[in-house]
Amino acid sequence: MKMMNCPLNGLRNISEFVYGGEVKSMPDHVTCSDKEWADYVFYSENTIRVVMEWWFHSPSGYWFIAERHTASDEILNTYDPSERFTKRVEFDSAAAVTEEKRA
Amino acid sequence: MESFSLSAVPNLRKSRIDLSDTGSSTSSIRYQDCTVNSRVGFRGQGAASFLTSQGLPIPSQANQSLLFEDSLVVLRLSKTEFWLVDIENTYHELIEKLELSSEPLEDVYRLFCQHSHACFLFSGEQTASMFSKVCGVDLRGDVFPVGSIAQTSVARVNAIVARQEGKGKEYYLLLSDLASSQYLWEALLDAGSEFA
Repeated sequence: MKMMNCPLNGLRNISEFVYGGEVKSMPDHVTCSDKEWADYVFYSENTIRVVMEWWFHSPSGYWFIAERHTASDEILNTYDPSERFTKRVEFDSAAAVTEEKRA
Repeated sequence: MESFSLSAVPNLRKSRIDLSDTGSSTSSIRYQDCTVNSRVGFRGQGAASFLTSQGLPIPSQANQSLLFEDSLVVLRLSKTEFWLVDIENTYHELIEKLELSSEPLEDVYRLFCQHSHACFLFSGEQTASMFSKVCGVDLRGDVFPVGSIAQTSVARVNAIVARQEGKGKEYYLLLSDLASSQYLWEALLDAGSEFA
């Protein structure tokens, strides 16, 4: 069986993990356009390269980041999200409702 | 939100597991269902300092456990998550008190492990051999010493397995989703039946 190294629990069978999508930088939800937000939520690049992805270790309920090559499927590195996300994102301020510009 | 006590009316708790076929087993492994025993979990940036301030010892690393007095196991499941499991059901008052005193704290959150999880206890020399049939992590004594925790899959069900000893007896503690507890109980009875 394929194995993955969980930063919290160590080397485990891949069947204990759940894929959680690509790690992308979030646009500012107050100032970005609807198109930019939809891009962020729904689209991924899907090219051959090393991608940064969210993975979830289901038995411990733990989310972490993995770097994986999309062609070889080799997992190159895994680490705790605190290495990349250092501050909490607040969604308190409501985004202004704006008319989307037509192309 | 109105708050409520997870530790309320412990005398009305029922385990859903049918224990009737335990007696017919010839296995040398001892199976015990501790699901109705009191337990509580805390998570949050302030959880570690909260428990320390209440006079409880806490493990220094994630995936480690230690014993408080005789039979209260303190599990550290991550940097900021702790579970307290009462092995002999003698610490209910302490657990209830902890739960209530954590309520006003902003950076400590109670966890619902009392009602979401089943709790089993296994003892006997062959327990590790039984686990090796159903679990991918090596739980034998030389690589999984007393105080270790493995959060992994047991018989295809997510589970927390901890090895501890108290009163001169070693045991494995297993916490797993309550909804699958009857299946897991039977699967582990079946796995252990060959170890006479």
